[in-house]
Amino acid sequence: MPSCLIEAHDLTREFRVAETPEGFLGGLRGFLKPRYRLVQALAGASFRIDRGEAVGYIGLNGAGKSTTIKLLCGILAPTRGRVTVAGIDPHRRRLENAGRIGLVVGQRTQLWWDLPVRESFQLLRRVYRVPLAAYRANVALFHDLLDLGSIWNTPVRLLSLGQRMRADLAAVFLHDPPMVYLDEPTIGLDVLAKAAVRQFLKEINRTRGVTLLLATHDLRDLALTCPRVLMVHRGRILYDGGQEELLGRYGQEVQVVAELERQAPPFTLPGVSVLRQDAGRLEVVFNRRSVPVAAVLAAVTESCPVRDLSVREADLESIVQRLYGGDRR
Amino acid sequence: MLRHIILYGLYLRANWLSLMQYRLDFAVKNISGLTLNLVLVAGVGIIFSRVGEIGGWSFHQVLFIYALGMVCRAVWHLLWVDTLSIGLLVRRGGLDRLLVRPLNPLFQIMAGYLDDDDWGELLVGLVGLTVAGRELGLVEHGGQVLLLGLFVLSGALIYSAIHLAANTTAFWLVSARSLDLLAWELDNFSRYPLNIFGTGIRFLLTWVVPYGFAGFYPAMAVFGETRWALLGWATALVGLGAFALAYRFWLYGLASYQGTGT
Repeated sequence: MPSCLIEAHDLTREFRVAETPEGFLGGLRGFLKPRYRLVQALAGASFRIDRGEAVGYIGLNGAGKSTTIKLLCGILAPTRGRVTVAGIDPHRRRLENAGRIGLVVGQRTQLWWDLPVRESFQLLRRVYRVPLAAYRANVALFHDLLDLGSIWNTPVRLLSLGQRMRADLAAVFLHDPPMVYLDEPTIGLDVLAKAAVRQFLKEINRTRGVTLLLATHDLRDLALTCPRVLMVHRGRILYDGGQEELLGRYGQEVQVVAELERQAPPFTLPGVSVLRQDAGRLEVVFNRRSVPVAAVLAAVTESCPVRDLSVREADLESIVQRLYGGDRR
Repeated sequence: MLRHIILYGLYLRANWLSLMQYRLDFAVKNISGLTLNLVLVAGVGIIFSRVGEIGGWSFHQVLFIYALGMVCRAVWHLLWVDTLSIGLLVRRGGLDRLLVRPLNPLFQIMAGYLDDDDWGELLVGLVGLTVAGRELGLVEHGGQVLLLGLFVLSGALIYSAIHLAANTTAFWLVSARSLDLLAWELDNFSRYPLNIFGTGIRFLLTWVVPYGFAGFYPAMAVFGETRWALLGWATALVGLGAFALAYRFWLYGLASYQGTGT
């Protein structure tokens, strides 16, 4: 079996968006003679994902994350470029592809709203043709990992968002899909529910070797689960590599914040830039490769009596913020 | 095929269990639906208390046509009405969820919902059909009942085809409410003998929006009325053909939903 599961080459998707001019007359004109604008949701993305990988997919709103997932699921056809999932074109052979994937979309449920959780599972077992033995084994596993037992007989509409996401996660993994896409699965969840989702994803990836593509805005989702990160910006892949490397490449920046006892003379040290200094506070930033952290700390405490001191390392979030450089759309 | 029949049964069961979550709502809706439909049928009776016949048809013949139309419509409405939500599915993205399951998305839409408020029409229609059929000697043996069942299914299929076609336009128009309302209003004509209308409407209801086959024409076949019996016997073919056409149109719409550039 080839180790490569997803292969995307120059993947591009354009949307035609009707532009409605303002006002009543404008609306009439737009109706009679519509004008369209082409929007590139994805503009030539290329990447590969191997079997068993867990890949984090990050990017701003509108960067192209959901469009990518829709292309990979076969919901949309690419405007240009191509993609294969397990060797097949997911759009041309959508039904075949659908049997081998799972899709979780945060805040949306695929369960039968008015029925107890177990009824949805029994239906999904038939839809996905899951053999009874495999079904029983998986349900037992999910009872363990996701505490499904406590909500098994509860109608979906009565579940909390966290409980519903647990049920939805279990439902998606029910047919042992080799590939699962998750589009912001933790959105709106409380900290405990988020932790449960992350823990489950990590576990299922490790024990079952399920390949995961996890699109998220909450970078803490990735910390434990996804060693590799794909970053998309304006429809292009901006970064593709290890989370560690990303931290290594951009994460050398350190910020020191000191609460001062009293007014101090202006702080200077070669290689260190002062972000802010006033009566009670000093904030500096520097690269730890050029200036040792200890030297900066010593210089700060020498310059003035310090009440409190904190050292902030760059984390994924601050790096991402800086990579995008406030560039929104 | 067998897989789809089993799945259809399971979906039906799930839908019924969902309905029964709201028993009181179900009861109230259907009591009012029952009343409304009784009033409608009573209207036919009132007309016949003033005139002896309409377009050459006796009271029981008109009742039979009317009731057959009701049953066709009710079967469609109860089982397959959810093509009406195609616009909503496109607009809110619910269609995506159906497309990532290894099951025909139209099957999922049509099997995924059981209507809660039209059981009264079914009941009144069946009673009307029985009363008129007995009087006219049209439900004497099993074969006749079976034939009527086939006509009802065909009629319901015609309703499905018309509404599927109307709602498929949602792929381009995003909302297909107005077109569907038109299709909805037109079915009012279908319960009366078609020959009382002018040629324009008759043509429309026979060849464009073929509601005529969901009541009038199959009734003509059962009556043995030579002028229209041939069309009546073709009801099942028309039902299958209309649905096949609508399904092609739906596939075309679906392709444009997923396809490039729009």
